[in-house]
Amino acid sequence: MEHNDILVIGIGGAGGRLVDALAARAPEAVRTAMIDTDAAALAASQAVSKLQIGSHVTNGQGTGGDAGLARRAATDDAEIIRGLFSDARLVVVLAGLGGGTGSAVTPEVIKAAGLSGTPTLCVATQPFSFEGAPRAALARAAVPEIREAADGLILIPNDKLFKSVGSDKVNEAFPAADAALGMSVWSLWQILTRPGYLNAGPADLAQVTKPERGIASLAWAEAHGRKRGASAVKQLLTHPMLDGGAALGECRSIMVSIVGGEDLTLKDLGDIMAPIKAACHERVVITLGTSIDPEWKARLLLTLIAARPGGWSGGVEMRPAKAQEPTDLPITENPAVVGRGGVQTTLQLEPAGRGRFANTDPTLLDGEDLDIPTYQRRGIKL
Amino acid sequence: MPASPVIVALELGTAKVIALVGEMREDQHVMITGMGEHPSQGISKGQVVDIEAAGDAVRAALAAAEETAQVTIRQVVLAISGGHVRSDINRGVVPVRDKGEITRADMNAVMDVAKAVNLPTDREILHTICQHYCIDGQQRVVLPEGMEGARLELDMLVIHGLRSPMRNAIKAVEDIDIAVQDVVYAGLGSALSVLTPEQKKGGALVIDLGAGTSEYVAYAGGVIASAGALGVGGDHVTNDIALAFSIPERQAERCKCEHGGALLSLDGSDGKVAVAPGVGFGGRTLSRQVLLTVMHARMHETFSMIKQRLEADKVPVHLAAGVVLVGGGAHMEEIAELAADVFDLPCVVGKPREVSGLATATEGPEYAACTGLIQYACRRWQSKRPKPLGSLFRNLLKR
Repeated sequence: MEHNDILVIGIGGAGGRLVDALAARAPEAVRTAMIDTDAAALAASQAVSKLQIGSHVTNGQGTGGDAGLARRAATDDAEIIRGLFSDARLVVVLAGLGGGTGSAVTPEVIKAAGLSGTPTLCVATQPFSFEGAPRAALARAAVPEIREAADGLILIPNDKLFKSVGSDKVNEAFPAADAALGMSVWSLWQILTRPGYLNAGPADLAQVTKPERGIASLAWAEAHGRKRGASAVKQLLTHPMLDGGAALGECRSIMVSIVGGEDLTLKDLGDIMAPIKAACHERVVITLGTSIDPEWKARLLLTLIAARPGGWSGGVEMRPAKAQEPTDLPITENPAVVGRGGVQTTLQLEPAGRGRFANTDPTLLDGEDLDIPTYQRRGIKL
Repeated sequence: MPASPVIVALELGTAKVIALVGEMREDQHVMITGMGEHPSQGISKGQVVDIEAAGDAVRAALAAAEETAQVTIRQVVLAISGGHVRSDINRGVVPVRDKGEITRADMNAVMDVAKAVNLPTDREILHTICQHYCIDGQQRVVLPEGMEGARLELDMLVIHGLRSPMRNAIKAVEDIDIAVQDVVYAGLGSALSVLTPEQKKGGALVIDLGAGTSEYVAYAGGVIASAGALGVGGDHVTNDIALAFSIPERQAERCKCEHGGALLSLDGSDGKVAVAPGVGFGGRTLSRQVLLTVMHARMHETFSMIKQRLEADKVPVHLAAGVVLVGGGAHMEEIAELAADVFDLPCVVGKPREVSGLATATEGPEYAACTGLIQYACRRWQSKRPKPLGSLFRNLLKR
């Protein structure tokens, strides 16, 4: 997918910081936007388009954790939000759940994108447990709504993020966690935009993160040196984000992305994949993507995205899915490491029924694509 | 005797590029002395998508116009269309300076305030049009100069559009070394061309049904109450037909023009329509009833959306002079009946008025926008304001 096809939207203060983190690492990410009620936060943002919503309900201030206020801001300015998606082929929504804007506006933005026919992938952080019950409740309320509307959802609990950075001093932990989050978003960006020899693209990502699969989490590890493959995978399999790797056996689908230099060898791939395969259920589909970036010479970045049906600890607890036995998994013929999973995905990148307008920007009005024949949209039988 | 210089109006339509050459005579009617047309290229849904290709089509149309009018064209008045055009009403308020009598200075001051509209950064103003003055709460004052009051207000209709599509249209013309002396919203041109002063006063809605976009302008009480556009046009109708019957676009276009209509036939007869074979297409027959269903759905929806927009803009529902349809889409069979039905108003297909000269240009509803452009430019030239022609668009023309 081209850089221009992907619209990255940060919502609220935390979402805005994630967009900034991406912008710093991937200057080619040119379609970035930030939505907030807080004029000062918007002014400081690096995003290309800045949308201030609800200026008359909040007077340009933040929402102070008031989800009702934030939702009113979103519905008041729904028209402006809808205008954002005009020609994007994928919307990536970055947000921090727990705050007013992040929790209440995120579902609205994703719903609006859904109405305009643009697939969405949401990456959201969840509040610290020490931030208290009200914020946790806000976040918990937002998750089902997002799951309903988004095509893919990856949740990152802040508690575990901090565990993974391995420092408990405030002045070290916060910057380190910000950097870790930035890397997470950047590694996703790599998967979405960078073609590789083994290609895992947006469609595969949608397959792994789609809500029916459970709650997806993301972990990454960076390693260098001669045994970097083995070292990276070891870090990953003990990663707090993946509950120490033990839960990988329950996961229904897993995506592994490797970014390495021109010196990346097949042996490295073997070193990485063998332990991961061993940790997973034997019949689960693992999607592998690799890309080569000269800047990663003698280093590699390993990212693992896995959806756990019951949710991950420290995040949102899910009802155990009905089919918890891994034997019920939809398994393809060859469960070995595959490139593109041959399954139809939910990410519909080319909406049907546009005919001669298939390659033009959709003509959107109130979330309807007017290029699609009226009789089709109105369900008129011919 | 001409009462204005020769004006060239240019419209970069989605289907064709039209150039009209004309001048205003002393009795205020416009004489069309030349015209050129060329099928469009590099334009999709009213927007330039390939500047070079669009420039070639413009060059061809202008060359034909030069030939018929026996003039050399160096500058044009350009029609701006596109689904992005919108209008808003901006109210300016000023205190009257000399306690008591309103002067010209107060009127200028309130005009400046009303023109200062806050648009998103990607939009640019096309026109600012005065609607009504209001003195101390007394609405609809036409000329406040010399009247008494403490507070003067002015409602200004601001027509604006997205900057980059507008600039690209200008650039396509300038790139072939033709100067753009002014830009005019195409819907405004159409309205100027087809409406009588009585219609404007009584209230009227002009809808320009183009190939890529549909523009509308509503007059109420002699002033423009609302203007805008939808990114839907005749090409959408063709596309709907092509998809409904799985026939090639060319055949769908012919079907639309030769057998189409905007209303469902009431007698329930289900005639068949033959689609002629073409390259890679063996020909077939299809049901006229289904063809009408597809077209009716699209046109009904288009009119309904315009109606919704007008209602949202609080345009008076009762537009006594009714609906006037122009543009290529106005040729559609029974389109006026459908519009009359949707808007619940009388509806006619309009043609340029107070125009003479080349017959094709003065008869066809698709030339309304361009003839209107010539009238607009001539009137501006005549009004001999201290501002040079087109000063309003300095920002837009500046690159």
